[in-house]
Amino acid sequence: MSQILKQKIKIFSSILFAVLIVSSFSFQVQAQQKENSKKYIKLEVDGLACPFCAYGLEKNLRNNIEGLDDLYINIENGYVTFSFPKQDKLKNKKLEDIVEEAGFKARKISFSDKPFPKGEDK
Amino acid sequence: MKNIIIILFLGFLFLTGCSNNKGYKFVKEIKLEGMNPISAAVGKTGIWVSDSKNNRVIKINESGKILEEFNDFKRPMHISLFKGKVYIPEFLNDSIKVIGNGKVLNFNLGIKPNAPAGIDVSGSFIAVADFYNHRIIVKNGDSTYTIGKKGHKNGELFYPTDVKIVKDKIVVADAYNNRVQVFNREGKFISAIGEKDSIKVATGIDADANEILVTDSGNNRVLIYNWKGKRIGTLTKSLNYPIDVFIDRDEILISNFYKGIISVYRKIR
Repeated sequence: MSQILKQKIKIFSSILFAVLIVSSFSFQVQAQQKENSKKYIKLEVDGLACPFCAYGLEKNLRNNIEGLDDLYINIENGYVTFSFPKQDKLKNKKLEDIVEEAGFKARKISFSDKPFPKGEDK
Repeated sequence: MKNIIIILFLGFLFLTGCSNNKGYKFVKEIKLEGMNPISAAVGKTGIWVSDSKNNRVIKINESGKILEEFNDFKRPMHISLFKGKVYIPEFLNDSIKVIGNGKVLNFNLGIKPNAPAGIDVSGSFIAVADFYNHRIIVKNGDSTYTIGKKGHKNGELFYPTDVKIVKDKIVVADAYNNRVQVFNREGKFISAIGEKDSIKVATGIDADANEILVTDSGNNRVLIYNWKGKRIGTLTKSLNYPIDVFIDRDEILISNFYKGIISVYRKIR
């Protein structure tokens, strides 16, 4: 192999490595920005006893909250977590009404800028 | 004397052979890793399972290996098999889907349900448990009608989750009235079953000519009744939040929501 070809391969590898590093950093920044643009909610609900109830609550939340994402239901421990766009205002009263409309009672509502940890299902 | 003994022995064998089932024996568990199965139904080429956690319907073999997979359902619930097709109620979408020949198609029921939780198909009849409207939607050919309304009296329903058509009867898992109700196909109330058995959410049912089986989810058991409403058996082994039951001739399959397993029992004769 000629010296020139070896040098070309070396340059190409370096460029490829640099591109990979930059892309990876860019993805991380994007993911961070995406996470920062969200607000997280944990809804603890009384009476969330069966999958039908849980999915009923899910249905009501999805129908009434625009941009709802990252929905997680823990039926055993009776709570739901999800995210929504940070710029949107979501008041406790609205959430209580949505839960009530689905046939349950909101026991506790918590807001956070970071995702809530997911518990283990039974 | 010898002849009498032989006749008595043959008579005993004959009576034993003719007797009805004497209950069920637990056979095995089919493990479904990472799934919350709502319903399982045995077809000719495998067992169809609605995996609501992962919003999909899959076909598995008897070891639990996935043979076919259909995704993007919105919480598929109690499914039904009829003539090689799988009928799927989608709880979040208020729609009915049908898998046939490898394709997923929409099915028009004629009346829009609010959170369909269970479906059964038999000949030209299709019945759907309309959860939030507290009723059963029945479609027969071009005509569609409803059975029941919200309430706790005989003939009224409170969050029905499953339905079965058996001959001229429609059997309903009247989930939050904690009982089973039997109607004729026109919707006339016939009987209420299991009201004195302290059922804690009657989520799933199946029935044949002899028995009605109901999953008592909150008590981790399956109750067996005859058509007169008399309780004739209880299954508890290997059950953890049983949510549906399927009769497959001499075997029954019970879907356990939390444990992610299907429990298989066999009839003792």
